[in-house]
Amino acid sequence: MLAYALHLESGEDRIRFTRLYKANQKSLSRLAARILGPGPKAEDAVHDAFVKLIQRYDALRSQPDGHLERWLMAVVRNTALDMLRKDSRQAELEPGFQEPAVPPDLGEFEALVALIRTMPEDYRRVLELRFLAEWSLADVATELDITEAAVKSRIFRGRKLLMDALRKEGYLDGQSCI
Amino acid sequence: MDSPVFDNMLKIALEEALRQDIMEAPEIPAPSPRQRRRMRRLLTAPASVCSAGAEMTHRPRIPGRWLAAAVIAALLTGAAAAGLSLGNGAWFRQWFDESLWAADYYGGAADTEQLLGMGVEMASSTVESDGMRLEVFDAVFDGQRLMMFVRMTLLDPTLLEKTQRGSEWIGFDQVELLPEDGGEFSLSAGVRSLHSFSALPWTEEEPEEGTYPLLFQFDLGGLDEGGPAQLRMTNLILWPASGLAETWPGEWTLSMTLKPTKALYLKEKQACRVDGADWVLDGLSLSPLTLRMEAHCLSEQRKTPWYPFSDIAIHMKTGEIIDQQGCSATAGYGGRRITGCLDFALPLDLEQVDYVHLFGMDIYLEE
Repeated sequence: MLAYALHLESGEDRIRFTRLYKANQKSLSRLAARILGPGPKAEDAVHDAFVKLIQRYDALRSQPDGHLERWLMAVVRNTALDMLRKDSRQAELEPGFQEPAVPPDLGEFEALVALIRTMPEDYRRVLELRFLAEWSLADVATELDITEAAVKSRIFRGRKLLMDALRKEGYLDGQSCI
Repeated sequence: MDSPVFDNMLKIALEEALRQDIMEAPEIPAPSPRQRRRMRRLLTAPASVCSAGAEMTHRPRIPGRWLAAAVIAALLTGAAAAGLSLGNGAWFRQWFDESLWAADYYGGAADTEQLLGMGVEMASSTVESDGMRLEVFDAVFDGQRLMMFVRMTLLDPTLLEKTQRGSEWIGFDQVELLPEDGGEFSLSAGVRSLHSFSALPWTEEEPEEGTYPLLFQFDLGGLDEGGPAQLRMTNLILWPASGLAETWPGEWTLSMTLKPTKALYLKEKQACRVDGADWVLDGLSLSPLTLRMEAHCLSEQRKTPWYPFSDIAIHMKTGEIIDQQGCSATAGYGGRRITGCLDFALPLDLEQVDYVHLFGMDIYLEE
């Protein structure tokens, strides 16, 4: 607990934190509301994300604002999904879920984005925390309450799922279908 | 495509996916009061939020409205960027909403929305003469208290050069708030408090060299019916870090109309006993920003309470009890009379006031 008290003691850190909040609160609220619906739960998800930022601020201080913004987006989404899971008592999604379909006539990057938006949530969450928020394997495991081995497994399978889907549509190594 | 290239594209695509999720999300309403309170606490006391079981045990006595210069500067920067569009109480509403702990402490007792359009119409919001420009950002008046936020810009190169040499403090020789008919605003017990203004140096971004935010607060000495008024400032005083002060001569006047809003007051005087002496509570008036009291001692050997608000408590229908914590208080003594003025950390919702406890009495006020 004493470690938390050391966070944001400097005025500069507080000003930066306030700036990040003001710049991102609305978009993060919309992201949470998209999952949980508008209301106090979505607000809680955003609040919890900023609390986590404070808790990890020592490690993140040197990161540019753009990275912290991406980090917040990933955390808000994960927090909102956790809340949704607790509320709806959804069963853990099994790896190997049906591969998402790629909308036609998209460039390679757009196709990847579309795939990400439709891929199973458990894979997407791990990829976001690992690639976007740049958390360590241990931190991701703690956050998601799974083992590090499971984190590695989901990263591998999530990447493979996306790459296989792109190749199927003729991207990556293949020719574009367009 | 090799793995590092794909991973790099994956990272960007993950971010784009989140952004598209946000873009497709429905519009959300403004944060709820509960959320605003939580985030205020988080922004101003993050350690207390992050430490499990930690609670704010210390309530600062510095009123919330006396914010750090950086916050005022930040708000003013935003207003400047918005082309001075904040006014009509909007700036002060935002300022109060940025208060430190007050929102959590006041809870449902506070209402900052009532500041919008509260009590002031500026006839002239800008005056430029004698090497300086004064622009009114915002003003609110609740019948007892006038608050004005003004930007001072030094235009004369000589004046600017003097301040650049390092002025520790800049102020006016005289600041007066006068009714336009040349009289004085209503006084009570002969006391008129002119609260000081403060010229705050920029600590964050400085939009223009030689600009200063000024916050004026006036206690009109009791409930006032308002009317046309002028804010007159005379002679700029420059206090260097060392050496003698310099005077820059000039006179600057801003005109306005003060329109009081709803207030509660004591209908009949009440006898009370304070510090072993008999007193009469002559007046008690409660407006959203201020509580004001006047009393006199019946005994020749009067015992003046050093601090008249030691047992003050405003009981709200919502359950909150607002005491002196976080408020700014002043008291005046003259003979056997005492007056006191309590400035709240947030504007009170008068609809929610149940009664005021003072000098051992529960006092019910009326409109």
